[in-house]
Amino acid sequence: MSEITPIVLLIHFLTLIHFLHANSQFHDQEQAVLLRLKQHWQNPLSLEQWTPSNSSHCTWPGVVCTDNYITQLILDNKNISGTIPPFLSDLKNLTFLNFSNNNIIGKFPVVVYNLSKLEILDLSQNYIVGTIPDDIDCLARLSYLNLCVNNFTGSIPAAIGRIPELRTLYLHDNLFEGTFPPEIGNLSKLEELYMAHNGFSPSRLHSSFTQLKKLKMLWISGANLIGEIPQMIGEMVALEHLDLSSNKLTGNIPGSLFMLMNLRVLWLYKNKLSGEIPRAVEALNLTSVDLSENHLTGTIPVDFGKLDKLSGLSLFSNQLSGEIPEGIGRLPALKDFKLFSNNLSGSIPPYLGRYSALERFEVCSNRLTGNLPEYLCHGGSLIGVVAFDNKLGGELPKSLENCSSLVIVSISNNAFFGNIPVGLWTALNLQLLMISDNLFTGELPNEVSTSLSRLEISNNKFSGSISIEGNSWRNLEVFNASNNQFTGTIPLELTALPNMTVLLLDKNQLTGALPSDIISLKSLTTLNLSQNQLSGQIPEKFGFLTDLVKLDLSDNQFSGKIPPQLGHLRLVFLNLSSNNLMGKIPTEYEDAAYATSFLNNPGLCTRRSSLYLKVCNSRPQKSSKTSTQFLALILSTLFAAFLLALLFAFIMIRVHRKRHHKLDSEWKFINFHKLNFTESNIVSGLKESNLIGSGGSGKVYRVAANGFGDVAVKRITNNRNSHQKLEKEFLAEIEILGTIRHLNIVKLLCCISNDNSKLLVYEYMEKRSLDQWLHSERKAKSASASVNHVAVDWSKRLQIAVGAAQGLCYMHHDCSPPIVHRDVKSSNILLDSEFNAKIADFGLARMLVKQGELATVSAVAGSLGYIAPGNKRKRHHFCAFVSFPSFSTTK
Amino acid sequence: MNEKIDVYSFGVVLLELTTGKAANYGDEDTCLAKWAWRHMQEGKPIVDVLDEEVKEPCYVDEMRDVFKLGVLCTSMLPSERPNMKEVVQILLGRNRRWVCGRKNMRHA
Repeated sequence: MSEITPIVLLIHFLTLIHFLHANSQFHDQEQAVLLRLKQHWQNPLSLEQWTPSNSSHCTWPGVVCTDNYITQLILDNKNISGTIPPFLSDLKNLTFLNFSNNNIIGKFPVVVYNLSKLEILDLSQNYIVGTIPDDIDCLARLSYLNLCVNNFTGSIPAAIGRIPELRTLYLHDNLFEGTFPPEIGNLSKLEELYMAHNGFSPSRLHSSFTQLKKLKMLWISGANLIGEIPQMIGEMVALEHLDLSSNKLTGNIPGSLFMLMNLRVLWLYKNKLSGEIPRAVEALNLTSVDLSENHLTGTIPVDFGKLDKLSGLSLFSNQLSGEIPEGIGRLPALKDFKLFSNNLSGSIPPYLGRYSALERFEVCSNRLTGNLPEYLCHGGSLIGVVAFDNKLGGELPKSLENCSSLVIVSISNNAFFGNIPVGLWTALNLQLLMISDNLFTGELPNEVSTSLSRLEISNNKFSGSISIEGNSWRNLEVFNASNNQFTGTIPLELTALPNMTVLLLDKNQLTGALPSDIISLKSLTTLNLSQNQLSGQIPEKFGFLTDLVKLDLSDNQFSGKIPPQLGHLRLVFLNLSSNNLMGKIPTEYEDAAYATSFLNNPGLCTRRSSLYLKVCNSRPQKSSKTSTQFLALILSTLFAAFLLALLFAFIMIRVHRKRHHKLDSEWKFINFHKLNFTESNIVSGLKESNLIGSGGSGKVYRVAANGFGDVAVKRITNNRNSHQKLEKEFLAEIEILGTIRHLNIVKLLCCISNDNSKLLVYEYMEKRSLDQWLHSERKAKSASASVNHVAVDWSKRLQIAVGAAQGLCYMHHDCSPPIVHRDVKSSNILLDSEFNAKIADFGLARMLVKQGELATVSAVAGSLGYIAPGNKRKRHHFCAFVSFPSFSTTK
Repeated sequence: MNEKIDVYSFGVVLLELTTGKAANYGDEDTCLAKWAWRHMQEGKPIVDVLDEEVKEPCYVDEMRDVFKLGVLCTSMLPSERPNMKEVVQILLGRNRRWVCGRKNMRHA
């Protein structure tokens, strides 16, 4: 040390100073970049602490330095909005850049290409658009690329396969509509590949992907995959999680899949896979297998009984047959067992539930026989037993008695018999107990689970009385006990359940009167007490059941008058027949729709004549002869007046024609309303750019008429073949529309014609025709039109229905002679800016001068799907409807 | 042939309004009207076929009633179809529930 001269020391010192100076200069530069970034994003609150101070920017949130250089910028969830600016590239030492879950917009920020040390890039959950650039491999050192949940489109470029260090590639949940490249198979270090939820053009799973020997996670569900799963998929030895669900994959499931020793999750549900499930299973690490909703056939492999780690097995909605292998019943980790909707037969493995904490047992809609397994709730975790539509039998296992975890038991339509285990009724969390269509016996308990909302026990052999104690029944919404052997009265307590909507006690042996005080069945919509031996009066309080839509009290011994309050209800279905009721039926039900509601009550009568009921205090019928004569007189007068009007119109047309002939030798103009535009306004507007539609009879233009706003002009082009037909339609349109005025009928303003074309000018309907608003296929087709295609909500639809009905009603009932449209369809119902409906296109319409004349008119008028089934007089169609809609009106 | 052919066609429009399906819905030998009738005939719940795009709990009852009216209007026998006056009255008779619809419209 002593040999070191002061000069050398000085040099050393100076160098050091220089170095430190350079370093601090760079340090300041990097801080400036951060401050510019903050400013560029308009100072988001989350970057509030990015302010110059004595402390280094390396302590700022989201900033990580190595040797005083910024190497990591971790700005996820910072509520940053805007673009990634070019000057970001001044942070040359960045290795880690994370912008996840912000509001980044614009295209892929190619500025990151200048960050030559970048290894991790996370732009996920932003609003980035456009394609992934073709030169993405400029990011040569990248090991992690996350672009998921953005709005990327186009195809994934082949260049992505040339980023050799890539271990993680997340591209899922974007808007890719092109393809993904086989070159991804070259990423030999890739461990995770997520491409799910993209609208790729139908693509096969490239066989090159099977070269990905380090791949652990492969997730390409909902991505339009077609074709078969490559047989070589078994070479992807590292695979742990394979999810190719919700695609259109066909063919067999490759046997090699079940040989993958690392595989834990195998989800291939919702595809079109067929054939058998591979028999040999060595993938012993499987915890979840979901092959449901395919076309798989054959039996369930016995080898599934080896899967000691399996907790979820879903094979539902296939065509599997044969027995459930007994070994599955002994799996120690099994929680979810979903085999419903197959053709499985034989008995259920008897030890199912004994060795694992089973939660969901769903085997409905098969052909299973034998008993329910005794140990289903052995683990104390059983949530659901769903086994309806099978051929199961025997008594219910006693173990279900102490199963407080149970929420749903649905075992309808089997052949179970015996009593319901007492504890099952009161199982603490039981909400749904559906055991209809079995052979159960015994009595209803006084208490049930307070969670119970739906109790369906119809078509069994339950007996005894219905007695309700305490308020354990308070949450019941649906109680269906039809067709049992219940006796006794309907207890007052049953009418005190506040949430009850459906109460069906029909086909029992109930007696006595109904409780006169229906306390709180306010929410009841359906009440069926038919086919019992109930007696006494129908309580007046029924009038307060305002939500009631179906009421069936038929086949009992009710007597006395029908309380008039019953008329206040808006019932869709009413049956009081086969009782001993008497007196007048409520006025509201004097309607054909309720014709069969009161049958077989000898004491009942109606004020209006009816096929089924006698008329109260019937008066002699007036002679109708005079009135017919009077009517004939009116009709003939009206007809004469109409002819006169036509003649007048004809003369006027001639006068107009002559007058206009002088002005314009080509066009003739007939107006039906006061107008301040001329034919030249209209004719000059018939440009291709104004075309808004074209159909069988011509083209429709939208023309700005002078001072009148927009009008719609229908140009009927003359074509020799269809000339006569079109002429007829043209005349019908003028004849009818020119003479009638109604808010719900489109206004024909004028017509303009020359030898070659005819123009019909209508008020312009801003929202076009109804069909465009209803049917999605058509919506898509006309998306280019200026109409804003959102769903028309129900209140608007009802308004449209009412308007269109009023228009038609006017034509049928208020026009003389009546007008029949003959081509009513949703494309002929136009909508103005307020969605008011207007009937249009009267080309096929006819005036009904006298009954029967139309019989000569061609029966093929109208449009497919809307044509009434002509003269088929066979009554096979609607005779089944008894007392059908809620006609609350009198005719 | 009389006004009832319009009632039939209008019934089809009502079915379109409630189900959102096109008039020619179904396969070759069926149509929306036939399909709707069959659906009711089989006792299936109407609520299942109502247009998902507009189905809201407060509208379901009203939609169901209009659907039924659509089926009635498309009865095979013209004499079984109501006339347009009756149709208007039935449609208007339910305006009690329009209150609900208006409220929703204001929110929209």
